[in-house]
Amino acid sequence: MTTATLSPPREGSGGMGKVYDVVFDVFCSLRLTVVIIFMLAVGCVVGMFVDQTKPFEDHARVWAQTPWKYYTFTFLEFHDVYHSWWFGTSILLLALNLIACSIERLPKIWIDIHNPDPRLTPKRARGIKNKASFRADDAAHFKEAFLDIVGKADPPQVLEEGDTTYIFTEKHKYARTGVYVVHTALLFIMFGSIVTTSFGFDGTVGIVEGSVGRYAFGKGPAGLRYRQDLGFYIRCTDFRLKQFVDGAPLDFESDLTIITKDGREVARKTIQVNDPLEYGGYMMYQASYQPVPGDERVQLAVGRPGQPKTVYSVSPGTRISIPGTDVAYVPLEIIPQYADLGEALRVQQIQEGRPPTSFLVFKNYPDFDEQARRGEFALHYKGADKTYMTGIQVGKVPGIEVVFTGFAVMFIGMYMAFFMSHRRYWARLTRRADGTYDVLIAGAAKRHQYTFEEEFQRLVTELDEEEGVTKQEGGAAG
Amino acid sequence: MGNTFTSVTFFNFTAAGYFLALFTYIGNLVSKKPSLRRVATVLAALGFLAQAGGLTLRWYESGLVEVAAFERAEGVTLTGWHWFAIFAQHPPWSNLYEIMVFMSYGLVLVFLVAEVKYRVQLVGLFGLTIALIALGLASLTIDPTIKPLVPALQSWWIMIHVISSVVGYSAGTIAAVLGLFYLVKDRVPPNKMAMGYMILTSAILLVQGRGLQLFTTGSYYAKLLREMGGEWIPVQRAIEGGEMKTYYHAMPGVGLLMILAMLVCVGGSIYLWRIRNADTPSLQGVPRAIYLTAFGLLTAVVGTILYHDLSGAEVLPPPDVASKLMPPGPWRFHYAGNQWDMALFLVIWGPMLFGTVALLRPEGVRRLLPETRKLDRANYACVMIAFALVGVVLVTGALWAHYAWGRYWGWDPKETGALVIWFVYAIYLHARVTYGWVGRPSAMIAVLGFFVILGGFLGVNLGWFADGLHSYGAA
Repeated sequence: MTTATLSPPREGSGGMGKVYDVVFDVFCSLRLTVVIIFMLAVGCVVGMFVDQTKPFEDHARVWAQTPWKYYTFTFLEFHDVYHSWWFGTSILLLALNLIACSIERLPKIWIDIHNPDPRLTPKRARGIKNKASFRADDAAHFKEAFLDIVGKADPPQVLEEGDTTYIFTEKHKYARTGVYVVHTALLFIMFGSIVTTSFGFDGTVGIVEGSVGRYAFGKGPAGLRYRQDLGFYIRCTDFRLKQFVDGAPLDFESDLTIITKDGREVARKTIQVNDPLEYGGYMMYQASYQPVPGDERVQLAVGRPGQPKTVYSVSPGTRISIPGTDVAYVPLEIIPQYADLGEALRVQQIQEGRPPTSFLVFKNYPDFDEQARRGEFALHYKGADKTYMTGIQVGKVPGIEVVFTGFAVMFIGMYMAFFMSHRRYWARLTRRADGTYDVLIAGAAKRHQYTFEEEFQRLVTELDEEEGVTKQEGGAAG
Repeated sequence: MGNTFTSVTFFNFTAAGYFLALFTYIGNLVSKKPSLRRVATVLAALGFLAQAGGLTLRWYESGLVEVAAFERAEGVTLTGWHWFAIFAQHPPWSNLYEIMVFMSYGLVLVFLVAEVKYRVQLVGLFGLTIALIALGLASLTIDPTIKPLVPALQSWWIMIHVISSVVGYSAGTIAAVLGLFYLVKDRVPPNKMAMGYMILTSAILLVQGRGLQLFTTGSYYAKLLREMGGEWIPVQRAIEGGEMKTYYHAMPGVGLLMILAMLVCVGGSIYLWRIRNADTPSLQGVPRAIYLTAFGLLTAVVGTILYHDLSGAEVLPPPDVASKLMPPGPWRFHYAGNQWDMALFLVIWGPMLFGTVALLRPEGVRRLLPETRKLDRANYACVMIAFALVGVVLVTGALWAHYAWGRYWGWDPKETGALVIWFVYAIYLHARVTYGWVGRPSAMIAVLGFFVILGGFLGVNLGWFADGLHSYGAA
C-alpha cells in the first residue's frame, strides 16, 4: 500500500492564503472522496435496515429504552437518514470535492490535450513500457511510414531540435476528460435532486368512482401528512379493474377529467400504471385502488353438500335465511388476503336454540367448507361486487430535466472513460555521423493494455518490414 | 405441443451441460490434460446455447400467456402490431425464478468471455458452480409457472434494466472470484487468509441466525410447509390484532452447531489476528486445527439442514402454537423453504472448501493460476464493467420509476442496495488511483463486493431489510 501523491505544496503567501490552500488541498484530495463515498454507503445501509417509511415515534418506541440510545437515534436521525444533517453534509462535501478536483486537475489536462509536449525525452521514455529501437536510412520516409502504420490519429506534432526530430501523435485524446464529464453529470444530478426535494411535491389523492378530488395528501418532515390544494378538480368518471381468474390484478385504469375551479373541463385521459396524465405542472399516476368499505355486495352460494347451490347476493351484515329450515347465515366481513390463501369471508351461522358460530370460507377454495367444516350446508364464497376508490399519485417534479440531462451526460462520460482509450505514439530520430538515423519509438495507452501491447508489436513488425528501416535489438534504453 | 417440451426442459439440458463442464474442468485439474479443458469450455458453451434457446422459448411461452390473459380480460382478439406488443412485453426475466435462471446465464456469459480472453484456469470451477446454484435454487424453490406480468412491470424499461443488472452483478461475482485467486496467488500469509475466511463465515452465520436471535434463543428457525389443495403453503400463525405472521419452527441441533461454529470463527479470528504475519508456507499447527474445526462445523450445519429438508419427516409444532395456526385443522407439516439459506451457506462453504485446499496445498493451487498481474487486470476489467452496468441499472431504474411511480428516486431498499453496490465499486476505482490500491486491497474490495451484491440484489427480495417496492415474487 503506497500513500497517495498529494498535490505539491504551494508557494504560500502565509495567513489567509495558507488557510485557503490547506482547505483547497483537502477538498482536492481523492482520499476525501473515498471517505465521503464510504459515509454515504454507511448511510444507505442504515436506511435499508431501519424502515424509513415509519414515523419517528414508531422507532422511538422501540429504541428509546435508554437515554443514550434515544439521543444517538435522535442525533443521527436514523428514522430519516436520507434527509439527516450528516447525510446531507456528505452529499454537499462530495459536490465540493468534485468541483475542487476538477478545478485542480482539468486545466492541466486541457493544456496537455491542446499543447502536448511531443518530445520523447530519456526521462519520459524510462516510464514507458512499450518501446523499440530502429535504424532508419531516411527521416522523411520513416515519418511517413510511422504515421501510416499508426493509422487514423490526430494530426502529428513534429519538432526539430538540432540533430533530433520528435514525432508525436495520439488517438482519442479527449478520453482523458471522460472522468470529468461523469463528475459534471453527477453535479447535474445532485443539483436537480436538490431542486426536486426543495420544490417538488409527492402526494396521493383518493377519488371514489363518480366523484371529484381537489386536495392531495403529501408526506412532510418526520412523516407528517399535510394537505395540498391542487387548484383544480380531478374527476374519476370510471374505474376499471381487470383481474385474472385467480384474482390477481392484470391492469387497472381510471377515466380522469380535469376540471378547473370555474367548472371548465380542460383535460381528459384514461390513466394506467406506467401511463400518467400531465396537467398544470402535476403528473397524475395510477398508483393503487381499494374498495369502498360498506359498499360491497357479497356473492355467497349455499346448498346441502353434493347438491346444487343457491347464490345469494347481499351486503355484509344481511341475514340469509335458508327456506324450510331454521338456519340463517350472516356474511360478517371480507378479508382481502387471509394467510396467503387469498380472499376470505367470515360468516356467522345462526340457529334456534344454539349459540351462534362463525367460520371462514375462501374464494379460491370452493370445496374447503364442504370438506373442512362438514356442516349441514356447504357454503362457497364467490366474491363480491365493490365500488372502488382509485388511488392517484400526484407528483410535481421540478428539476427532472436537469437530472435526466445528467443521466445522458453520465453515459457519454462513462463511454469516454471506460471504452475509449487514450493512445499516444512517440518517435525520436537522432541523426548519426553517417547520415542514417537512430530511432526510438514508444507507445502508451490508458486502458486495454493487453490489446495495446499487441497493437504495438504489430507496429514494430510492420515498421521492420519497411524498406530502409531495421529493428535494433536491446537498444531501447532511452 | 403438450407440456412435455418446455423452456424448463431446456433449462434441465443447460444444467446438465454445466454439470458435465464442471466435472470435465475438475478432470482437467486432476489429469492436467489441456484437451479436457477445451472440451469443458465447449460443454459450457453448449449449455449456454441451450439456455439461450430455453430463454427464447420461455419468451414465446410468456407471450402466449400474456396474449391469452389479455384477450380474456378485454374480450377481444388481438391482431398485427397490437398482438406483437402484448406478445413481446413479457421478457423471460420478470420474476424471481426467471431472474435466477437469467443470473446463471449472465454468469456463464461473463465467465466464458473471461475464459476466452484471459484464460484464467479455475474460474470455470467457481463460475459454473455459482451458475448451477442459481439454476438449482430456481428449480427447487420457486414456482416456474408463467403468470402474466403485474401492471408495474408492463414496461419496456424492464428489458435494459434487468439485462444490465444481471450482467453487471455477474461481472461483480467473477471479479470477486478473481480477487480470491489473486489473494491466493499473491502469497497472502496463510494465517491471514484463514482469518479472512472465518470473519466472512461469522458474518454469514450472523445473517443466517437472524442476528442475535441465534444467541437469545439458541435455535435456528425454518419455515414449515403444509399441504393445502395440492399446494405446499408456508404455515402462518395468528397474532394479536387479527394479523398473520409466518410461523418459524426451531430446527433441532442446528442452532447449537451454528453457535459453536460462530464461537470457533470469532475466537479463531482473534487468535489468528495476533499471529497474522507468521511466515509459514501453508497453514500449520494450531491455526490449521482451528480452520479445519470451523470448516467441519460449517459442513455439519449445512449437512444437518440438508438432512432435515430432504428427509421430509413430520414436524409437530407445540400445542399452544398448533392451536393458533391458520386455518386450523389436522395438517401434515414438514420443514422447507430454506433453500435460500442453503444457497447462502454454500456461498461461504464453497470458498472455504477451496480455502482448505489452497491453505493446505498452496503451491499446487498457485501453479494452476496465472500470474498476479494478469489476475489483477482481469479483476479490474470486471469491476469496470460492473461499475458501468450498475450505473446503467440506476439510471434506467430512475427513468422507469419516474414514469411508473412519479418519482425517480425514493430510497427504496432495492434502489439503495444498487447504489451501495455502485459506491463499493466507485471506492474500488478511486482507491486504485489515489491510494495506489492495486493488487491486494483491490482484490479484497472485489471479494467484499460480492457480498454486497448478495445483500443488495437478493437480500432485499428475501426480506433482510425493511419492506420495499421491488419484492415481486419473493420466495
